[in-house]
Amino acid sequence: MTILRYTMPPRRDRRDNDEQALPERIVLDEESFAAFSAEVENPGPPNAALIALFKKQK
Amino acid sequence: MALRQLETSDDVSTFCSGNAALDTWLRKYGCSNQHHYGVSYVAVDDDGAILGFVTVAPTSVARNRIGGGGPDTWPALLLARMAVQQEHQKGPRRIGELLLQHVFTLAAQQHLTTGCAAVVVDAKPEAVAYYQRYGFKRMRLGAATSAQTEMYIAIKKVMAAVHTADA
Repeated sequence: MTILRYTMPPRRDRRDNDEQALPERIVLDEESFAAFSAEVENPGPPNAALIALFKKQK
Repeated sequence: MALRQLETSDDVSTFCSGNAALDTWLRKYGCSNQHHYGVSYVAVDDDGAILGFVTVAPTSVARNRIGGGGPDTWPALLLARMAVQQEHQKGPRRIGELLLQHVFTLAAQQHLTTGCAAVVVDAKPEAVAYYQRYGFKRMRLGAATSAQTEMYIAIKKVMAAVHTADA
């Protein structure tokens, strides 16, 4: 297979007026993305409400 | 009460959460969108009446430029819509918690099978405090154009909660 050309797909960062549309990709600015990345890699401990959510459903 | 995927035989016509947009979406698109744009799950009572629903879909979180080191895109699970039948919103059955816990379970499965870094939700203004209660954080979008607030919670935090609850 030969890739002749790579074109960035159009970004659907946010839903528009289409009530069915879901954001396929959420694009963050550099600062927000860095904060997001840091959080998903090293999140703090879960809070009591989150832990209780799973205890209640056991 | 049971939690399962929305089926075409479900009666969505009487579902009323008090949020017209969510109710209309379920009635008009819930079944036709099933397994295409996402998957909807319903909590139903013994008679099959829908007590609440949640819709999830794959999404990703990306930086607005390529390069600079580190990942450029994180896979995530989008909690697209969630609503509870009006009379059960403050009742003892905790339908919302059941639906949210199910979303976390799906995200954990995705994390372990295909990759998932976070659960993302586009929270309506009145729902922001609800999600914050469980540890969701604001995404601070650089080019937000919506009145809704995008929030997320790291899947590692969810997994830690599961392990702590099991301990």
